Amino acid sequence: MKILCFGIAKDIIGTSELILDEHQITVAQLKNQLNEKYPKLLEYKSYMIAINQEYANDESLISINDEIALIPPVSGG
Amino acid sequence: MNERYSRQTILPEIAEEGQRKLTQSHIAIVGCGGLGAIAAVYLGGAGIGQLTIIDGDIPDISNLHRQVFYSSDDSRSKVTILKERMKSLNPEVRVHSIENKLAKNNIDELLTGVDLVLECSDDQMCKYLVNDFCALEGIPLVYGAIHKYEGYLSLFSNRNETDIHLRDIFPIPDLNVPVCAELGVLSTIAGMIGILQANEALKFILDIGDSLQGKLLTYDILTSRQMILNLKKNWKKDLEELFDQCDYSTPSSEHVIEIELMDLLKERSDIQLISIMNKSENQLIDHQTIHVEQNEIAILDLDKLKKNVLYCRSGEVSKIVVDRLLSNDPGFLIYSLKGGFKAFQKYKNSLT
Repeated sequence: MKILCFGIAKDIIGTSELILDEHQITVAQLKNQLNEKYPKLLEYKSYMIAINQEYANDESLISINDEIALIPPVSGG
Repeated sequence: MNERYSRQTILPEIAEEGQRKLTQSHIAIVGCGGLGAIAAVYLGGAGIGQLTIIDGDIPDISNLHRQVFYSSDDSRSKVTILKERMKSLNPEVRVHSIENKLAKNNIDELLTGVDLVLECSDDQMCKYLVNDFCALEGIPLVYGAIHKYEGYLSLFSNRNETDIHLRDIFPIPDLNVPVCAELGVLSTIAGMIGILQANEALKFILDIGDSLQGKLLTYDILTSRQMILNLKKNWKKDLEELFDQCDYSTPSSEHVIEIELMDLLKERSDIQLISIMNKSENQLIDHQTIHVEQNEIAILDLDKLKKNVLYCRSGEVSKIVVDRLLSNDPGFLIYSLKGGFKAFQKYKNSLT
């Protein structure tokens, strides 16, 4: 599965596109994995996850061919 | 036919009737920085009848790369300069300039009765204040925000309680999110998102095209890639109760101590000044100043016997950095200079 990173998530993960070798996981499991690998993500409480450009809840299932977007809040103006 | 608008009224979707809708509209713009100033000028040019522009600041040289309607040698307030610019562009627009920061105690007076709001501030709490107020009062809101090379955009039409707003995307303000002054921003993303906010407002008033209601647009200028994400209703709490309880001021961390410039000048002996401004910028005083990149400061071996005073251009970023340092090691003797380098410049000017 491909993960597109936006905003501060791009800085923390160090790339705008991350490929994860997972067949099927929930959004909550994905968040846990990412938080474990990139603990700085934990500083940002409310990042949004979209699956194939649709807002996803923690329970939503992600399949191997899905495109995920990791969207943290942004506040510049 | 008014010749001024002929190039847009010739468009069949707009025509004279559409122009009348624009003329009869009142739009408020919260924040006149990189997003708001450019949006204001485009909305004025298009013939929005009334524009309320709200900002309490004066232009800062470090922001002029993206705030292109201000001048290097004009120290009047942003709203004063912007009003003058809009008046010379289109005298038919009634511009109400509010030289004040939008806050909970004036939002009712400033936004009630407007047809649409553009949220263009760079202040996270302000974005939530405007969001909650507009959602409760049923005022359509165009949301925009930028980060380095990226921007977000959405329209919250706020016609029904089920309409999506900012809290459906990001339920609570996240004060760890860095601002432009900390991480930087390329000027063109501000211009693009500002113009897209104006565009979203025009489409909404004219009722043409597909609006971003219920959608979040993300734009990355490095890859020219944009995405439109479909949002879902996610916020389930009582917004009215929250609005009543929250004062929407940025909580200044209780352990950050701000030192006044005058106190700093008096106390000369055991101070270590630490600048997080660009190296090319001036040293503050004749104290020995260390220059540090913000991200590297955590590893600084601070002299715990000295009084360490961190300063940036305005005193805002240093406060955030001091807060981060203290949360890692509460034992640091470290302070943030109130008003930053600008306070020192002001002091120097007062001497001459």
